[in-house]
Amino acid sequence: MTRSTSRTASGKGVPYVASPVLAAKLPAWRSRVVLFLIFAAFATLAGRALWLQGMSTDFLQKQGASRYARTLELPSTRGKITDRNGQVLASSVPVRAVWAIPEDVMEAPKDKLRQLAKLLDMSEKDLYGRLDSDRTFVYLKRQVEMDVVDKVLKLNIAGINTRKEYKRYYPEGQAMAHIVGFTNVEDKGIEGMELAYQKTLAGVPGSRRVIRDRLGNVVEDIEAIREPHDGQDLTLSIDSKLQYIAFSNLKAAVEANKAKAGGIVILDAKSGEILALANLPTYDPNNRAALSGAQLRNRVLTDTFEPGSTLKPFAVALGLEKKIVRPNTMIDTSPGRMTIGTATIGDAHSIGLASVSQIIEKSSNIGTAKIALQMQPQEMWDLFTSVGFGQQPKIGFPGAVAGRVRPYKSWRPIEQATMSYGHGISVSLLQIAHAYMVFARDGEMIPLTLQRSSDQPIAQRVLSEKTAREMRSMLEMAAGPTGTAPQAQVPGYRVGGKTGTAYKLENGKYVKKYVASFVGFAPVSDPRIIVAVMIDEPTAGRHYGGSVAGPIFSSVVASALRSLNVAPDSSVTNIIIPAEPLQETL
Amino acid sequence: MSGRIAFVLTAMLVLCALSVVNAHYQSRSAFIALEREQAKTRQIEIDWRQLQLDQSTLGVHGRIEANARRDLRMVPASPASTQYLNLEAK
Repeated sequence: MTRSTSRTASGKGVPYVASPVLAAKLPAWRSRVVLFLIFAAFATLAGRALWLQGMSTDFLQKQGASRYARTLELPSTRGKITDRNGQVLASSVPVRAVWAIPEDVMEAPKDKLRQLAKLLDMSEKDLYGRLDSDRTFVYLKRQVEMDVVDKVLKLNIAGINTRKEYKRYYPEGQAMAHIVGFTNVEDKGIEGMELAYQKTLAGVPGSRRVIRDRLGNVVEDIEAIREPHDGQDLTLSIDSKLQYIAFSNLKAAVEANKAKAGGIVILDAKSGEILALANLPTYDPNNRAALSGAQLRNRVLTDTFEPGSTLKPFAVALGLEKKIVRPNTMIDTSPGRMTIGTATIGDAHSIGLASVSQIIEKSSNIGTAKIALQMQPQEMWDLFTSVGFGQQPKIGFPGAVAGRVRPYKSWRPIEQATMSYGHGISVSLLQIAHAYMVFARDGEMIPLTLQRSSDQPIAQRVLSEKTAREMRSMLEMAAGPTGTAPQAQVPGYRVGGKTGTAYKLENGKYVKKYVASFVGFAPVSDPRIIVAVMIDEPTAGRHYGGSVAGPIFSSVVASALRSLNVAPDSSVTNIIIPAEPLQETL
Repeated sequence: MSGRIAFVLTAMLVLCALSVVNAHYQSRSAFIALEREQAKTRQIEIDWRQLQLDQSTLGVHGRIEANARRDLRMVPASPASTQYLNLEAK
């Protein structure tokens, strides 16, 4: 203050520096503090900006995106399985899983929960049992059909939600169960063709990132869509009509014979396709509440048995092929017993002096063994191997077994003899049916397939055409009025085939239980189908292949050939079995 | 003069901005319509699947045979009751 008074005022007034307002002397630190505060504020802003932009930008962008961007699952559907004519055998349709947040649901009125339990087809106690949980996610019921789901959602209970999933339906049910198999609740194949072709049947779900508007509409894709890929459809070689014929006949026969199990397979002799394959006992793939291992077993493919007499034609055919015998060569089988080494084999009824044809027709063990003993073990082994015994069939089916043919080097003569009539060797029903292809196809073998195929498979010659044709006419006699299987005859068609009756092996010992089988083909003039039937432990009195399995063969062949539109090759008036018995079995 | 150019450019800028808004709106509604149609396609595919399944379920041979035997009293044709025509003899 003292200083301003000492300055001189100008004419215009008080000079700026002399303004008395400025004269107020403030401490210098105050302006510095202000300057510092302003600087600090800017620095804070800059730091904050740096922090947001540089350090936490990812987090913030994610937060922003989560408010408008959504990743949508693009579901893919599992491929259908159809039969050769396009009939659906397995198909997935969308259903819902109903799940709950127990805490929220428990607050709902009792009345509504009662309705919910009723809709979900469960008791109220079960429902409360499921809801009594600390978890925040509880499945109430899976694979609920859409119309039920709509009703459940209409109840409007808080805490009840649904999740999309697929359910697989099997319209053919029991008849086709073993071939098609089934999937689990996650739509993943766990049996049969569903398992074998899991990779191609299963779809690959896709996804897309989108922007959603306020109303929930998708307005824009942000990223490239990952396209979902539906599973490929699978077309089987199975003909569902033949399958039904085979299954229903087998079922009737297993019930009539009070048998433990049974199997049947129909092959297309022209293309090697498996037209039908049925097993008993079976199960319903749509309802698998109580499944046992016995029901699941695909016996035709996975069970081996000693085939018995059905194997005789191979040893005899080899004899014909190697020119050891001719069809009319006479062989003495009397007295119906024969001792090889320390063991004795025999025929049930001695047929005395018989031709090779009669040996097949009457199914003589002695006659077959006598022919077989004139051959080298290796020759027999080669034939067995080339018709598929001891080899796993390459049909891409899980669990198909190879059977057992011991190496020829260790064969003793008695073993060679018994093997010629089907003992000491084990095969599956599919293998024996496949082996008969060599007779049905004039000495050629073609591979089997479970998928429909249009191209002609590559054939491999095993026997000469002449041998195969000779054996075919012998097998026709075996299935004729004087053979072991007159019941196998089919009116209108010439059929050929061989019966087999074998004791079962249990713990390495033969027991008084039987496996009755019949393998044959029709029509003999130009074989179209091969049918193999096996009945395990028939207990209703009869147990011979001819009387147990023969009639099934007959009725299956009659219906199958008619449905395949195969022209009859024998005069229709020449019916040896009256038409009536056919009607009751079909 | 420069004031006029500035005015024209401003007007054009505003128009462009508005047309961008409009185009965006159009594209979004077209997109929503597309989405809706695609959803419909999926639904129709599902329905088709379901119908195929129903066809198979209703056309199971066991059911057909049971209906034919029970309701229509049909019997399987036996060779004795079949007249075979020979194509070569035509």
